[in-house]
Amino acid sequence: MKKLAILLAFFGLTALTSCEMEKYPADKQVMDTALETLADLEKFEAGVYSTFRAAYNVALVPSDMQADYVNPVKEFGENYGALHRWEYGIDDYDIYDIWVYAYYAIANANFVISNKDEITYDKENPEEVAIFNTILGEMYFVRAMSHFLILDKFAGAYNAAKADEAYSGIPIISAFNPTEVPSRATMNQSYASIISDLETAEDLLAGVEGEANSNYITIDAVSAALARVYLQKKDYTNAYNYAKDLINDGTYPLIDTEAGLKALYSSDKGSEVILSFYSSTTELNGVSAARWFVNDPSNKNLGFEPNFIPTQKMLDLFADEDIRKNTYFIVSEDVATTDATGAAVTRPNCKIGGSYIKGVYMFNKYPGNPALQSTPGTKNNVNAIKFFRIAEMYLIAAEAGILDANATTDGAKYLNDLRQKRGLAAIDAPTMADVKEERVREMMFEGQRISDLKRWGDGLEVRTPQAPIDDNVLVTTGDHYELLTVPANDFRWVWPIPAKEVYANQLLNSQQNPGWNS
Amino acid sequence: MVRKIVLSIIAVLAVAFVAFAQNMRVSGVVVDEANKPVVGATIFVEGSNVGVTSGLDGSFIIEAPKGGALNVSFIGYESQKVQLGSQTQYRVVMKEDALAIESISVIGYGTGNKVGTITGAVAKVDGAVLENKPTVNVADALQGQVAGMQVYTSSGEPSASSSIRLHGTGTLWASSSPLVLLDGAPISISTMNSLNPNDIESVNVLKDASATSVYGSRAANGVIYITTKKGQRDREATVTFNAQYGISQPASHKYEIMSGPDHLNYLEKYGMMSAGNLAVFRALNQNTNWREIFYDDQAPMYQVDMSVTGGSKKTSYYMSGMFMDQRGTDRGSGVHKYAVRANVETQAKPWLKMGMNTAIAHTDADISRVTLESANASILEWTPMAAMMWPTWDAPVDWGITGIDPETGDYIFEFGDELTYNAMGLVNPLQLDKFFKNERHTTQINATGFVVINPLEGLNLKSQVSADIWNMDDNRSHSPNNFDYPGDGWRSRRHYSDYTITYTNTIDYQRSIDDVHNIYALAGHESIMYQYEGFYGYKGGQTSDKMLTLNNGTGTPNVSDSFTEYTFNSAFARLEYNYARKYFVDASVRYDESSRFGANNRGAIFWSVGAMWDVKNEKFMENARWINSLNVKASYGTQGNAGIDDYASLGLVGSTTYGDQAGLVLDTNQIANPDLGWETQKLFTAGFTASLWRNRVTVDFEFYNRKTENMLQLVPFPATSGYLNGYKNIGSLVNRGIDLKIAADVVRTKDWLVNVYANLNYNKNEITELFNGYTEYPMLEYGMCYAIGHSATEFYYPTLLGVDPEDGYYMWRGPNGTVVKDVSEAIYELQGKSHDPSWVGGFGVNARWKGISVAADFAWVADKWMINNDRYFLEADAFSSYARSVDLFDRWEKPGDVAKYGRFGLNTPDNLFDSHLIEDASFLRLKNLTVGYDLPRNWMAKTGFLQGVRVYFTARNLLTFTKYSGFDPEVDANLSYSGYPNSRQFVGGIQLTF
Repeated sequence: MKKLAILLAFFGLTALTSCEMEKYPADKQVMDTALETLADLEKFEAGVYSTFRAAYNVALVPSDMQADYVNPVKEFGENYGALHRWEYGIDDYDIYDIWVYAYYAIANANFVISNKDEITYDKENPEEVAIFNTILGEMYFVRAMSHFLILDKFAGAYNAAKADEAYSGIPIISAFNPTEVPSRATMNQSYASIISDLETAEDLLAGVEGEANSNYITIDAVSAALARVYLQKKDYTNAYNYAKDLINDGTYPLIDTEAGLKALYSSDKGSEVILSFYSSTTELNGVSAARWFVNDPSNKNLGFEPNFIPTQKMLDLFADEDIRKNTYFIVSEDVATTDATGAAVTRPNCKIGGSYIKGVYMFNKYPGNPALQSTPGTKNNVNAIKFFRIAEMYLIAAEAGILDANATTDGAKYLNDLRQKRGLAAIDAPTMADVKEERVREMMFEGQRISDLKRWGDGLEVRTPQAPIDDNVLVTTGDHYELLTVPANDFRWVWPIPAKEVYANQLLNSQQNPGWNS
Repeated sequence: MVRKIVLSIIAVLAVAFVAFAQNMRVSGVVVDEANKPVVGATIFVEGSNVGVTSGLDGSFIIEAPKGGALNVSFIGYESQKVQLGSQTQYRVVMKEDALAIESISVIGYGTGNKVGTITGAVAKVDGAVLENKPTVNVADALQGQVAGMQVYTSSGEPSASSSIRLHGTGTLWASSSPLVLLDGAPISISTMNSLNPNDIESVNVLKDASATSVYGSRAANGVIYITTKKGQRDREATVTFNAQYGISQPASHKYEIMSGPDHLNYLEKYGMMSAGNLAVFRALNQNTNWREIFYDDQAPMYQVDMSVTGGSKKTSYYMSGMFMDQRGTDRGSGVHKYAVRANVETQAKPWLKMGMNTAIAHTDADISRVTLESANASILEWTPMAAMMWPTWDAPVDWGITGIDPETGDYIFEFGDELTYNAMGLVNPLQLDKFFKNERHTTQINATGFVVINPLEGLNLKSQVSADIWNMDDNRSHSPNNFDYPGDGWRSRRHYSDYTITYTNTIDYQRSIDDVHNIYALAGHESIMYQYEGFYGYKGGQTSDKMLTLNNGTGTPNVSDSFTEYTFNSAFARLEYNYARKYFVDASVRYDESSRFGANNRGAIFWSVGAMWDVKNEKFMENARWINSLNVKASYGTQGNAGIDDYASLGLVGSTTYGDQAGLVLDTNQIANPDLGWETQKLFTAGFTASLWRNRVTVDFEFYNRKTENMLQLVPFPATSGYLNGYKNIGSLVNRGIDLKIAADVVRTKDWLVNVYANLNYNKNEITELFNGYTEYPMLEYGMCYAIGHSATEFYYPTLLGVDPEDGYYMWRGPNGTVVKDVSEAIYELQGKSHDPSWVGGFGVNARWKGISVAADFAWVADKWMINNDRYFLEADAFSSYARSVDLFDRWEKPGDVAKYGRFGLNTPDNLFDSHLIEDASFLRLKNLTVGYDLPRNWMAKTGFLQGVRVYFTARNLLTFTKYSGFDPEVDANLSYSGYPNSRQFVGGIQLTF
C-alpha cells in the first residue's frame, strides 16, 4: 500500500507541472484586437504618421545624389556612390528602401481604412465624428502621397499618349490584404487613384484649417499635394489653381531676409512651411543626411569633413545678392585652433583628403537643428523634413502658368514674387528656362531634382566641380563623376522595380521598367 | 545494496600508478557474461585509491598487497570483489546489473542504460579530452573529435563561444544548433562556457533517430549530452589540485600589405594623395607593423582548480572549484572565470535515492571593441586595415602621450581640452583601452535535483527538476576625453537574465525473463519553461572621465526593456527489447507542443524505430577469433525543430510615436500564421561497429539520410503587402553522408602504448523544395541563393574571368557564355562553392611510454569556402588610406598587360563582391598537443600523502595550414570581416593528487 501511495503521489506531481501554451509578447499587441475604439484609432494615426515620415525620410536624399547638386570629395567613402555614378542595379538598397517604406506606410493606412467600420465610437457626438473623419482623411492623404512617391520614382514622366499603356503606372494597393499579389496599374489609373484619395481627404479634412509649421495634415496640405500631383501629371490648370489659391490665402508668407531664411533652415520653422514632419530628440527624424554634406566631427568648430561639396555649376547659379547663397553655402576659412602638440595654430576648417583647405564651398542648407541635439552642444546634423513650403507653390504656379499661358494665368508674377523675396530682380517675360533655374535654386536638396528633370524631359549635364585649390584636387574625378552626362531618353531615369519585389511578386517580372529586364 | 561505481577522473589518473613496491603483481581480464571484454572497467585495490582501468581487450595489470582484494566495477554492471590468493592471473566476469538504480543515465530518460545495449548511434568523448585545455570554451576542445560534428570558434575573444553543427545544415531559417543537455536538462550552447571542463565526465553525441527521437522537440540537429563527474560511495577522498600558466597569441594571419614607402609610392602614382600630404608622410618615413602593436603575442593566462571526490557508505560527492584568468591577444579583452560545483547523491532509504548537482559560475569579461562594433571602429582599430605608412606614437607625431608611467608601464595621455586630434587626424588605437570600457559580468547557476524511488524490483520512478539561470550585465562607457569623438562621453548598461526550468518525470521498468528476453520500458513527461528579460539604459553627455555613471550624463536618456518566454510540454514512451543479446529492437514515441507555434498546429508526434544485430554473439562467429565484436544497426525516425522566434505565428502591431503621441504600427516582419507548426526531420541511419584483432582496431561506420520537411521558412512577401517576410512550413532539404571512425593500438606493450585515430565525415547538402514553386531564391545582399539541387550555403556572385589585356577592363562571365564588362544582376550565378564544408574530420595520436604521454589532435575541414571581406577593403581604391594589398602592384597599365587588377579608376570590381573574393577556407589545425609526465609512483610513496604528480605542457592551435588569405579560416560564416582572429596558446601545468 505504501508503494501504491508513492506511485499516486508521483503522478500527482506530474500533473502539476504542465505549462501554459498561450503566450503573447510583452511589447506588442495581437493585430486582431488592436483597432476597436477611437483611442486605438488615435494610436494608429500616430503610427501612420511615423511610417509616412519614414517613407519621405529615406526618399529625400538618394535621388538628389544622382543630380548635379554635388561632387563627392576624394575618398568620400562610397556613400551613395552607385547612385551618383548612375551605376545602380535592380538590387540597390537605397532604391529598395524607398519602395519598402512607402508601401509600408500604405499598408498601415490601409489597415485603418479597411477596418474603419469595426471601430466603435459615438456617431451622434460631433466631436468624436470629427476625430474619426480627420484621422480617416489623414489616412487617405498618406495613402495618396505614398503612392505618389512610388509613382514619381518607379514610373516614367507623365505622357498623356502612353498613360493608358498596360503597367505604365505602379501597383496600387487599395485595401489591407497581406496576401494580395498585385499587378502594376496604368499611369492614368495610378493618378486617378492618387487624386481620388486626395479628394476624399479634401472632403474629410475640410474643417482642419492650415497654419504655418503644422506637423499634421491640414486642408492646406491637401491643396499643396494636389498642386504638386497635378503639376507632375502636367494638368497645369488644376496645378495652377491649387497653388495660386494657397498663395493667395496669405497664410504662409515668403521669407525675405537672409536671417529669416537661415532661421528657417536651422530651426526648421518659418512662416512658409505648410507641413513639416515632427522631429525631436526622442523622435529623431529628418535629413540626417546632412552629415554627408558637412560633417563636423566635434562640437568645437575645429573643422568640417564633407563627403560631398556643391558643384561649381550650382554655385554659379547664385548671385551675391541672393539671400539663399549664404544660407545654403559656407566657405572654409582660417580658424585659430591648436595642433596636436597643443601649440596655437591657424588653419583652414575644412579637411578633404587629409588636407586642410581654405576657400572650399560646402553645402550647409541642413546645418542641424540645435533643438534636436540629444546631447546639447553635440552636433548631430539633423533637420526635420519640410514637406511643403509655400515657395514650391510659387514655382508650381509659375511653371503651370507659363506652360498653360492664357488670360487667367500669370506664371511670371509668381516667379518674380519669389525672386524678389529672395533678393533677386524681377525678370520681364520670364521663360521656362528661368523657372527651371529658380527651381534648382529654391528646391536644392529637397528631393525633387530628378522628378523635375524627368518632367521637363531634360538630360543630366556635366557636374562641373569646384576647381583645385593650391594643387589640392577636391573631388573624385572620372567618367562617372564630374564628366557624366545622362541623356533624357536614358532608361535609368526610371528606377527599376527592386529585384526582391520582383522575386516575391513574379507578376512584376514581365512588368519591369524598360532596360532593367535581364 | 550492490555498490555501483561511476567511472571518474581518479580511475583515469590511476592508470599510471602501476608500481607498488612490496606488492605482488596481479594481471587479469574483465569480461561480461557473454565473454566479451569489458573496456574501461575500473579495478581498485580494496581500501585504497590505487586503481587501473581495463584495456581494450579487457586486460589489466595491478600491483596489490598479498591477501588483499580487488574491486572491479563498470557502469551498468554489478561490482565484483575479487579475493586475491596465490595466483597472479584472474578472470573477472561482470554481471549485468539489471536492477541498478544507481547507474547514471546516459541515453534518454529514466534511470539507466549503458551505451552498448541500445541501438542508437552515439559517439562518446571522454572527459579527459576536455581536461586542462587552455580555453574557457568547452566546445572548442570537441573540434575534430566526433565524426560528423563541426565545431567552429569564430573569434579569439576569450569569452567567445563556439558554434556546433551535426551532419550539415538541416534547415534554412530555423536554428541549426544541436540540443545540449547537461545531466539531463537542456542548456544553451553559451552556457557550455560556464562549465569547468575538468568537471566533465563525458560528452555523448547522439546522432541517429533511435538515440534522439525520444528528445523529439529540438532534436533534429542532434543531441549533445554532457555528464558531470560524480563521487563514489565507500571511497576515501581523492583531492586533485591543478595549476597551469601560459600565454596566448594570434593563431595565424596570411594577408600581405604594402610597406609604408610602397604605399606612398602607390598613392603618388595614381594621384590619390596630395603633394603636401605626401611630403608630410615621406618626412615621417613610417613602416609600422600594426599587427605587432595591436596583438599581444604573450597575453598571459593562468588557471587553478581543485576537486575533492569520495563517498561514505550511503553518500557520494564530487566538489570542485576553479579560477581562470585569460587575457586576450587583442588588448583590452580578457576574461576571469570562477566556477564551483557540488554533485551529491545519497541512498536515503533502500527504496529512495536522491541527489543534487549544483554549479555556479561567474565570469568577468572585458570585450574588445572590435568584437562589439567592428564596423564602427576607426581605420586603425580595424586591424587588417591599418596601413604601415601611419606613424606610431613613437614617431614624431603626437598621439597625446606625454610619457610612460614608470610603475604600471601604461602610457600617460594628456587630456587637455585643446588636444583632441593628433596632427594626422587619427586616433591612437591603444587609447581605446583607456577610453572605451566594455565589461560583461555573467553569473550562471545550474542546478538539478532528482529523486528516484524503487517501489518494486525493476521499477523506478524518477522525478527531476532543473534550473538553468543566467544573468548578464553588459556595461559600456566611453570617456569624453577620447580623441575619436572628443567630448562625446556616454554610458550604457544592459542587464539580461533568463532561466529555463525543466521538470521531468519518468517511470521505467526493466525485466529479464530467463536471461533471454530482456525488456526495458519507459514512459515520461516533461515541461520546459523559459523566460528572458532584458533592460537597457543609456545616457550621454558625461563630461569627466572620473564620473561616467548614467547619473552624470546630461543628454537624453534612452531606456528600454524586453521580455520573451516560451514553453514546451511533452509526453514520451520508449520500449526496448533484446533476444539473448543478439537481436535488439527499440521504439520510441513522443508528443510535443510548443507555445511558439500557431494555435492550430502546436502539437506534433515524433517517433523512431531501431534495430541492432550483435553478430558476434551468434554461434557461427565463435571461430572468427580475430573479430572481437561486430554490431550492425539501422534506425529510422522523426524529430522536430522549433528553433524560431517566440511568437512567430502571431500577427502583431508594435509601438511607435509621432508628435510624442503613442502610436501603433504593423509589425512588418511577420504575418499572422495560425497554422505555423513544427519543422520535421526524417532521419535514416545504418552502420556497423567492429572491434578486431584482440580489440586493437575498432571501426565505426554510419550512413545517414536527413530529410527536413515542412521547413520553417521566412518566405518573402511583396513589400506592397506591407510585409517583407512571413514564416511558413514549406520546402525541404536533404543532408546525406557518412561518418567513419577508425582507431588502432599500433603498439601495445607493457611500457608502450601508441594509439592512433582518425574520423571523417562527408556530407552533401541539397535543397529539394523551396516555396511558391520557385527553383531559386537569390539573396544578392548575402551573395547567396537558395536553389533546388544546390547546397543551402552556396555562393551566388558574378564570376570574374580576368582583366582584358587590351583595355584593362574587368571581364565577367555573362549569360549564355558571353563575356561582359558591365555588372548587372543578370551575371550573378551559383558558384558551386559553399561555406559549409563537404568534409570534416580529425585525427590524432596518443602515445605513452612509462610515465610519459603525448597526445596530438588535429582537426580539419575541406571544401569550405568563404568571402574574404577584408580583401575588399585592402583592394578598393575608395579606401586608399587603408592598408593596400601587395597584389595591387599587379595592375594593368597599358594595352598588352596581363594583370590581376584592371586599369586604375574603375569602380568595379573594387566596389563589387564577385568570385575573386571567394577563397578556399579549408584548414588543418593542430588543435591540441599535450606532453605529460607522471612522476613514478614509488617517489610518491615516500611522501606519505602524495598519490600522483603530473606535469604537462599543452599547445592549442599550434599549427594552422590553410590557403585562406584572411585573418582566420575557422570563422563560421559566409564571410570574414575584420574581427578577432583565433588564438594560439602555450600552457604548462602541474596536477597533484592526494
